Amino acid sequence: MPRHLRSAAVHILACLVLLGAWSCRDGSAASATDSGAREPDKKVVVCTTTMIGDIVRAVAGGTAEVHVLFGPTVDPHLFRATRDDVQQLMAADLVFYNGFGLEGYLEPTFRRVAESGIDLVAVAESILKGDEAMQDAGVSDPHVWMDPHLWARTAPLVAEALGRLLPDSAGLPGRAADTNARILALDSFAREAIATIPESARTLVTAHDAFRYFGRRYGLRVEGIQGLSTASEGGLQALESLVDLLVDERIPAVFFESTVSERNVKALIEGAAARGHRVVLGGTLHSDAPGSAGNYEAMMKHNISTIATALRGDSTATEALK
Amino acid sequence: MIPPPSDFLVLDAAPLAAVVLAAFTLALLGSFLVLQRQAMIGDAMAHSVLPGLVIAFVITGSRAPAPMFMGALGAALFASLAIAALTRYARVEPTAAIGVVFTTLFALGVLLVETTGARNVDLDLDCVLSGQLELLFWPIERGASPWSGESLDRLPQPLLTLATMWAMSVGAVLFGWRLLRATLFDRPFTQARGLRPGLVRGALLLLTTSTVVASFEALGSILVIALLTCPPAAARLLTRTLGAYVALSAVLGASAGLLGYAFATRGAPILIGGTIDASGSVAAAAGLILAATAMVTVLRRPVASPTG
Repeated sequence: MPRHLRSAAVHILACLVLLGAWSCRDGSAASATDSGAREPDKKVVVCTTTMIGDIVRAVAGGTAEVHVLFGPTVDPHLFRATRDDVQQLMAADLVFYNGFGLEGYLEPTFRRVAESGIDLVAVAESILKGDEAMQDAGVSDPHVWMDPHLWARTAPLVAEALGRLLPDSAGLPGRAADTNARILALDSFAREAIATIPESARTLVTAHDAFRYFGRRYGLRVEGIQGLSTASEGGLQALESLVDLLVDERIPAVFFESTVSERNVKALIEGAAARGHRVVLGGTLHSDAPGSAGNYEAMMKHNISTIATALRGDSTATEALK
Repeated sequence: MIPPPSDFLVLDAAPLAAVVLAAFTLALLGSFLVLQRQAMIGDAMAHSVLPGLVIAFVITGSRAPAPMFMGALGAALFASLAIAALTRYARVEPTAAIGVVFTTLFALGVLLVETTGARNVDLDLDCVLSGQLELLFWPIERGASPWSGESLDRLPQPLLTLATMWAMSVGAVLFGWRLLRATLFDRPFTQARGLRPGLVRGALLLLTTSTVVASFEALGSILVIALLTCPPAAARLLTRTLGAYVALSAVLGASAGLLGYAFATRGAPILIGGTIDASGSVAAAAGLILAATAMVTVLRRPVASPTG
């Protein structure tokens, strides 16, 4: 009996060794083709979010190869780097990330990538001066792109960082000024849209605390069920006090976010209905990623129109969104 | 000019070494746990570390690896001691003692998270569950030699910790082999010789706890549990001698590490078109090795023979 078993063990081990050899051989062939895909002469810039990537692409204008790590439906708070992401970061000449803890789980990765001498720029942390950053319980709010008049400053920052990488590129300041102006146009669009909402209805209730910069700029009260990071849980207490708020202030609409579960917002609508106040679903906002809007400007325009339409109580539009 | 370091060196060398070293060590130590019917102690530790992490965070106010590691180690040691005490003095069955201790400690941890304000900070609990093997990459500076002192300093800390645990465990098992065997199977003999079986068990438990905690961050608790149990269970089916069992368990563990990692980073891109999570792949390899072993054993066993 033991002899049988020993020979079985030998067989298994032999199979394992063969399997191992097979997978190693195939792998070396695969990685050789991977590295051939890069454009040889261009510098490589990696951005974490689309909100940053759009601006970097516009300012770079084809002078650098720009990659965006997070897809349009990825929740940046919960993003974990895979081997392929680390590969992209380590192959980059320059990395732009948001900072203020938005990419919470990536921070150890950023620190290690920086050790290898790659230049990393924390965009949100760099464009805010003095006490412009909003704080909550000692933690800085990372959702700066929600205020286009602040986010427009990203363009000159990106031009300066790209200029260090591409000293021969003369078009950077011009493209940065154009991009800056385009984003500032969003600011006046938002002002006009929000002005159409009656004073009493200017309260924005969403799935997590992503809209505080937006609210500060345009004069909306902002409440999120979950905290600044979607990694935190909402909790019953938060839900209950929000239902109180909806009922007491007769708030007409609440909003989903495309990167956050709908469960908590649905609970709010049901909670208010149980107390005799009908809250409609105002639509789905794109908070931490552009979602179906595809890029930063479209995402902000979508958010602004959705919020203005729903809080005005424009019933035809809200029914259509449902 | 020095050519840029290869993808293998930057992305794969350190995670691969870490997972093979950890798998070898965990399977080696796990073989003794399985013999004592304490295989689920790894699961217990995975849940028990939570209060330790929170307390360490509250005391130091940081999420730096060193205080987190000490907190986790303290809590896991407390859990092991509590399990041992319940089994020994309250005569609770080992599996029941494990169940009672880890649920209580985990609940305590959740309470602490809610009451201390640690909930506003991302204590990365999922990381303990799924591990981040991919993050053990080696950030070699472009144009620098990988073997320069500066580059070697950039090797990921968990790899060095795991290498230390490997050396300590292999050393302890080799040098303490006769003592270990006597403690596990011949308690009257050890007591008659004036040896302290409690001390040997305690040392083994300390070694296991430290290795398990050191492995959590890189491998994740699911993989740690898989490596503590699957290779010993497979080895148990293949041999009846204690020495061969322990050695085979460690070798099977290391093979699972090597094959799982190779599949995740090299095999999967060809079969599914992209790399997959290495921790999951290694855990699956450990399970497949056990399944294959069990199948071979069943097929080889004469139908009517008693198995005693």
